[in-house]
Amino acid sequence: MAISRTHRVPILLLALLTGTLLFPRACDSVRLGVGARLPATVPPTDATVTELPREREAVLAKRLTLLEQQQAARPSGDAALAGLRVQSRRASAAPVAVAARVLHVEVSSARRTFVIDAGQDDGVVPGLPVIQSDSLIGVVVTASARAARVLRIDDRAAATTFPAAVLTSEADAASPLRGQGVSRGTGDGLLRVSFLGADGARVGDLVVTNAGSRMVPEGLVLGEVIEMSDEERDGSFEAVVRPLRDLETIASVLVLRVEPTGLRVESK
Amino acid sequence: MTRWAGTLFLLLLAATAPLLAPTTWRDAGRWPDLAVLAVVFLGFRGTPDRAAMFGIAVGLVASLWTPEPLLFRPFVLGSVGYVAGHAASILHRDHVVVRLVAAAAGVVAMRLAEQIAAALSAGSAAPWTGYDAARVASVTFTAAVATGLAMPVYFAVAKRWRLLAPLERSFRDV
Repeated sequence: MAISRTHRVPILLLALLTGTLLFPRACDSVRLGVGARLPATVPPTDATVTELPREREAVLAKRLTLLEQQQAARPSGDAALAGLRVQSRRASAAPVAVAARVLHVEVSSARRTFVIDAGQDDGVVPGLPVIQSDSLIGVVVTASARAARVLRIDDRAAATTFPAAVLTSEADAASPLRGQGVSRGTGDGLLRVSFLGADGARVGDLVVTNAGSRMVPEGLVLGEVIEMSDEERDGSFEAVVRPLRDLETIASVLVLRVEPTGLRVESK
Repeated sequence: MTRWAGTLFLLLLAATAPLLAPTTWRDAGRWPDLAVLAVVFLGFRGTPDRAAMFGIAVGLVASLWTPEPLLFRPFVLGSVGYVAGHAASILHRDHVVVRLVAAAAGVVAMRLAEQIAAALSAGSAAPWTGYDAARVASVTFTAAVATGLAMPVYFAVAKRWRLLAPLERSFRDV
């Protein structure tokens, strides 16, 4: 049966729609690999290096305070032994970082992704966290042999939803931990940390990843609180967080080759 | 062969222009969508089928650096071209306001489809808030205005230099 000439294009469009819905990941790694072979559109730059000392100083100071608190509250007996066992497991799964260069910031009004020049040949697989200095930049979502697609932390996808801890910016606070919540991207360069108490965050506080994520280690910087509100007036506050890194100008990153620590912990 | 050089140039330009644009401009919508302009131009000066096929070709090339599924962009751009072609046949195709509205509508359709694709893709269950909707609407409006403003220049250049001449309507098509 011959298809009428006037119906050819509508049928073709219908076939494209069907293909999109049925095979959303078709040829994804091939397409990523071909795209990565094109000349890079993100110029290599060392501009971000000048920001390192300030950020690193703030993060290290907070970590030191946190470790001192943990040292003081260290448990004893069997609990301490179990804790050491877990730490030993984690130490054996120490992350190995793979340096990568950003090739393209991908084109989409709904997604915030970029392509890096490291892939499965370098051990980069979906789910791995991508960092720059101490800041979490995103997670790998697709990987071909020599390239990978990274979903930025400000994307709205569930893959960029992390447990978050708010560290106080006040030097004389009794505890460095002010609150805990869940962070997700807003799609416009910011993050929102939800499920906070009324005093769960203040403007200027530092937000870091918390324990509980399968692949993303705790303690990576997500950003700085710039606003705190309870828009829905349900008692659950939200903090608007701005990443310390300028996500638009990222030119090079590190991919952490971590193993999912959550599955390695034994309990007796 | 040289007849098609301009067409090939515009195809590659439409597919690669967003990649070369400053990211902050692109994310804020302050960058005309040359792919939509190209298919709308062909819809108005060519035929619906040719506009759709050109849109599919641009979409396939552009899908090398887009995170959406492979066939998504060819489908949307092809549909925009096809609808623009049929709309042009019942509207005043030479009226600048009609062209401007068509270009803006194409951008809105493109961005709306991208948001739907993102919402449907696995793992994007983040709930929409009023803030999110307002931001997306604002950026889409800005992009539609930017594309609408670029439309007269784009149409004039493409017409003057006959860049899409092999796909434009000829006496044989009338």
